[in-house]
Amino acid sequence: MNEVLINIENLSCSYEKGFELKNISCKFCRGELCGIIGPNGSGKTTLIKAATGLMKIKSGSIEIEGKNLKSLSPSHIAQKIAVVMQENNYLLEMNVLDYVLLGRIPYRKSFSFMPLKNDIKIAVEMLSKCGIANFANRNISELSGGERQLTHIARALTQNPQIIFLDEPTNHLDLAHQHQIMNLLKSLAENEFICVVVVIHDLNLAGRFCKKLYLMNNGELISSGTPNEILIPNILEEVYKVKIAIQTDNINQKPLIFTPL
Amino acid sequence: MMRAIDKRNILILLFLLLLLAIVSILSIILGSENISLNRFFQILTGKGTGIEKNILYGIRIPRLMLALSIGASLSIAGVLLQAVFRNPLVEPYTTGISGGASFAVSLALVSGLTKIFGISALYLSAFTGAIFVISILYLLYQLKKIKNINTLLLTGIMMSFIFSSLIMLVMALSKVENTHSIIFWLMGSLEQSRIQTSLFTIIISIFLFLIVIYYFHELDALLLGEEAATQLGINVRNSQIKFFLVASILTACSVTISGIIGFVGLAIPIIMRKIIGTKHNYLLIASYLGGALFLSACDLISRTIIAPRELPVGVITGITGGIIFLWTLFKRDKS
Repeated sequence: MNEVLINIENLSCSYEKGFELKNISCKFCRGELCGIIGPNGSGKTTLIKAATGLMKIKSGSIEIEGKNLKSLSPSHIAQKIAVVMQENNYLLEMNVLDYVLLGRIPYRKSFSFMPLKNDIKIAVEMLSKCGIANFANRNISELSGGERQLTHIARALTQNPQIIFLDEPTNHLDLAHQHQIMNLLKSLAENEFICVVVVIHDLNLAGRFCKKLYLMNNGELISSGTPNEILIPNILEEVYKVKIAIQTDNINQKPLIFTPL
Repeated sequence: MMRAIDKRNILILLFLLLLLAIVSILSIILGSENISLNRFFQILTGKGTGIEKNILYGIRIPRLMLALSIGASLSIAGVLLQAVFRNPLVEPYTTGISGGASFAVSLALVSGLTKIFGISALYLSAFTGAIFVISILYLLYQLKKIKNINTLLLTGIMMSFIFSSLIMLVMALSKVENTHSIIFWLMGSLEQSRIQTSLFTIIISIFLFLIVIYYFHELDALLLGEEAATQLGINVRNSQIKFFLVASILTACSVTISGIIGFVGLAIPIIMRKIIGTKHNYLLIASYLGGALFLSACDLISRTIIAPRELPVGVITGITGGIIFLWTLFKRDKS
C-alpha cells in the first residue's frame, strides 16, 4: 500500500440539528484516485467538510500525514489539502490567472501588492497542466461549465496540495468534459503522486477511473474496496433501492452499471 | 501576459488621480467668490490678502479635505461590506449604523442639548448612536446569538427600520423647527467643515485604508464564500468581524461629521468593480480615489450650480451617481 496521507478513525460529527456521520474509518493514500459514492444525503460532502476541518469533530480522529488535524493551523491545512466544492454561483469579475493565483493565499508570508514571480510561475504551470493556459486572460464568468471546472482544479493545484478533494466535479458536464476531467484527475494521482478523492454520482465513471471506492449510506461507510468489489448488484440495490444490473465492459474489463426497466 | 492587465489597471488609477487633482483645484478656486488659477498659486506662496487666505485655508481647503475623506471612507466601507456579505447591494447605511446615529441626533436636537453645547453635542450624539449599534451587532455576533453573516445583515436592516420609525415618532412629537433641523441633518451636508474635523476624518480614512489593504487577499478569498475561504487557510469569522468593524468605524465617523450622504458607499464600489475588476488590491485603491473624487465633484457642483446658494450635496450624489451607475451598467452589458 502507498503512503497513507489521510487516516480517519472512528469519526463521528454532526450538523447542529439532524444529520450525522457515524463512526467512519478510512485511509486515503498517495498516488490513488479514490471515489466516494452513495445516494444523495448519504454524507459524502459532509465527509469532505470534516476531513478539511470545516466541521467540529464529535469523536474519533483525522490525521493528515501523521499529524492530528486539530493541531494544524488553517493555512497549514490549506497547504496540504485543496478542495473543489460544487460550482458557486457568485460571478467573479476576475481573469482566470488572477483566480488561479488565489490558490497561493495559504503561502502568503508578508504583504505583497502584486503576485510574486514564483506564484505566477506555479499558476501558469498548473493552467498548462489542466490544458487551459490559453484562457489565462479570459474573464472567469465567460467560460463554459467544463472550462470553469478545469479552472477550479488549476486553482486547487496551485495550492501545491498533497491531497485534493473534489465534490461532484463532473456534474452538469458533457461526455467529453467528463472524460477530460476524470483523465486529468487520474493522471494527477498517478503521475504527480498526490491523493485525489472525488465525490461522484456517476457509478460508471467511478468504476472506470477510480482505484478505490467508498460507498456511503445514511452517514455510514457501508463498504470500501476496488470497483470490482464494490459495484455489485446486491450491495448497490440495498443502498440505492433500485434494481441494478451489471455487465463487464469488454474493452476495459470494468463494471458497467444499468438500471433495467 | 499578466503585465498587460496590470498596466491597464495602473493607468486607470493614474487617471483617477489626475481627475482628483483637477477637481481638487477647481473646488478650491471656484465658489461664490472665484479665484483665478494664478491668484491661487500666489496665495499658496503667501502673497494673498487676509480674506483670500481665510477663504482658502479656513473654508475651501477644509471643506475639500472633508469631501475627499468622507467620500473615500464611505466608498471603502461599501467595498468591505459588499465583500463580507457577498452582496453588491449592501452599503454602509444598510447596517443600521446610520439609523442609530440619526436617532441619537434627533434626540439631541429635540432635547435642546445642541442649544446648550452647540455642534459638539451633535457630533457626540451621532457617534454614540453609531457606536451603540456597532456594539450591539458585534456583541450578538461574538456571543454567537447571531450565527452567520447574513443574520448580521438582516439584524442591521431591521435596526435601520426600527430607528427610522423612532425618528418619525420623535419628529411627530416635536416642534416644527426641530423637525426642520432633523430633516436638514438627515439630508447630509459638508458645511460643518473645520480644519480639525477634516484632518481627523482624513487621518482615520487613510489609517483604516492602510489596514485593509494589508489584508486585501482575505477580501479576495471571502468572495469565494465562507467554506472556500476557510479552505484557503483564512480564519473567516475573524476576517468578517475585522472588516465589519473597520467599515462600521468609517461609517460612524462619516455620519457623525456629515450626516447621511447616500449613494457613495453603494455605487462607487460597484462602478469601480466594473471598471477595474474584483481583485481587492486594485479595487480598494480605485474605490478610495473614486469615492473621494465623486464626493468632491458633487460638492463642487452643489456649491456652484446656483451660487451663492447651495444645494444639499445628497441631491447631487443621487442624481449624478445614478446616471453614472446606469451608464456603466448598460455600457458593460452591451459589450
